[in-house]
Amino acid sequence: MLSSSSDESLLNIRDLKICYQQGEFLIEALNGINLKVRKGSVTAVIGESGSGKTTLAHAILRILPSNAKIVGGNILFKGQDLFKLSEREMEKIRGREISMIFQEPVSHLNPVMTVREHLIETLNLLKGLDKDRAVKEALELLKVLKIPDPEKVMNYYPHQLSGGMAQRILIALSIAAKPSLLIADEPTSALDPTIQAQILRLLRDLNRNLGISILLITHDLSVVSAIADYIYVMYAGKICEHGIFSAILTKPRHPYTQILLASTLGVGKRVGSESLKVFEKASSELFNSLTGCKFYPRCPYAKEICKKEEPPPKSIEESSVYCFLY
Amino acid sequence: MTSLLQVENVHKYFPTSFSIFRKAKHFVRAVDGVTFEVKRGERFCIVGETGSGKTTLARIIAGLIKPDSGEIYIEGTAYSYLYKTRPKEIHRRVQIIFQDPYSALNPKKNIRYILERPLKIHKIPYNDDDLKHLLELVGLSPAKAFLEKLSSQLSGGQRQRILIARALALRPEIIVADEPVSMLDASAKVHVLELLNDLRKKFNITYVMITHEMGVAYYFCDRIAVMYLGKLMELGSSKDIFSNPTHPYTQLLLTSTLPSDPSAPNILSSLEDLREPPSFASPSRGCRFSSRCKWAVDKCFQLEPRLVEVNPGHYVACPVRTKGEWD
Repeated sequence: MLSSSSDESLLNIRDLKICYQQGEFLIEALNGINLKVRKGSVTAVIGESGSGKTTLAHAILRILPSNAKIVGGNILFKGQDLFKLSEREMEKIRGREISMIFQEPVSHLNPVMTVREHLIETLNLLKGLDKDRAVKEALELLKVLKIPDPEKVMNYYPHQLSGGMAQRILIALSIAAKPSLLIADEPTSALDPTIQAQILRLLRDLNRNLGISILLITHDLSVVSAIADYIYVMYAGKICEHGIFSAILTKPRHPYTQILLASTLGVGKRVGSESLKVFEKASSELFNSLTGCKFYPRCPYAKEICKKEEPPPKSIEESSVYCFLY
Repeated sequence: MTSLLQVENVHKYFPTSFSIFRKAKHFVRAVDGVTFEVKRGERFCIVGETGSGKTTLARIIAGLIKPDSGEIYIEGTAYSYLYKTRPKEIHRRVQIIFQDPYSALNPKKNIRYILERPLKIHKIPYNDDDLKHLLELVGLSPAKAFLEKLSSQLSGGQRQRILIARALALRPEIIVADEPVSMLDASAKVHVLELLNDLRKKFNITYVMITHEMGVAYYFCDRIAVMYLGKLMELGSSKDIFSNPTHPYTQLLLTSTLPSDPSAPNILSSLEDLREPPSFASPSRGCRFSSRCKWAVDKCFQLEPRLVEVNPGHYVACPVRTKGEWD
């Protein structure tokens, strides 16, 4: 195998650069991402819209849209370079070794198939099970996912399912083949608050009890708070900061991480608008053709060097931060 | 503060299936007898999850849908009367901001067109400076540059500001905001809520905000109504709801709200297993929340609870918790 650091990493993304072709323009989505998912962990990527986090998720499974161009870097899964695999080989990975769940569960289910038909199809495809065995295993899966009345639910069509229930079905489909890695792309943002917590607990239990590593992608800090061990903060296609979750939260170093923490609303929390005024500089939604640090236009601590050069990672205690302040 | 808006026993049902003669057989009772009032200058929040009826109620208050029964009064004048005599007056006095800034704006039209529309429809004279002023009020500058842009060229936060500017154009008395920040990122959320607050102080606007995010309600609202499957479960001041949540559903909402403070204890382990209905079947009798409620007794499944005042201004529809009476 390879060096000791990649022994622990289930997933190792190295200097990944991806662009999208829009007409005559090339829009940068990922600008050199370095990210590791350690085996058995729940690793979260937190970023706002436009940060590139969904591109990251799609790149791992190679389900990027046709106008996406991989400009550089690679993704190692269990030491294997995913970009070097043929499509056939990738098919063996998707759903079996690496699985994914998405934001709006009902729209990811076939509206003319019942839950039973979905499960049978998946179990047949991934594990070669015949109908009877598939049904038995399907019921087991539904029980693991704590779905009440599983026999009844098997006959439902997607439109009859609540958001939370549909997400559980999708999770069931995605863990059917016992993948090593589950990518959860905003798994609860379309769900109601009372259901959100239940689904997150479910994911945490799957991680702890079945040993499935999770790459959680979200914009919501409270979701990360609930289950993440390790966190990467993304902004404009780059990682700003990463480390053990509790360390980052107690001592956020990157100015962007600080603004994220300060502006997250919560019950019982007085968000100081004064502290946010500092960050009110023009937010540039289009980051293209900016040399230097991408956060420069919004950063209250920006210096000359920030405009010209991209900050390299600096390791401090248990985290790493990409910022010239350090 | 005087009462500006009165919602009185409003019902709205949507048919879901029809008999052979096209007569509606089954209904979704989206709003099923809701009553409350909003004082001028107040920030009133309606909190609820999917299927609670809050969006339908928002549209009824904004004059976009007519209720099947019940009435809405603005400063004492009934909507039903206004619909017959001066329908445009409702829209001039009550404007709405929608949830999705991407679908609420016509991507082929420029900002100038979007801001002009309400003024033209209500025949209010305006000039370019007025439009620029609107953009400045919502923090979009240089205003001149924004007027010619297409909405598709703007970010989510910027589009939401355009929606606010459009709602402001007629200087309404009430703005109904249907999940105005749920699609925005954390920092944009706070800025937009701050903006709404500033505008309230400048123009004495009364807000009826719809949200499912308790953090947003905590930050923004004076009074809160908690809805579930078409009915009001609890109604009270922000202090009542957050410090003394009495209805089991309100308590559930608050305990499931993930703490954003990382040092707060992790709630996941102490979460009870929810009795979750797989689909939106609402019980035909009794309390809407009964099938999910850990306090439910037999009567809860048979009789509908009434809203009872447990403290001045604080109403709860749960005889079990308030030790009150059923209907």
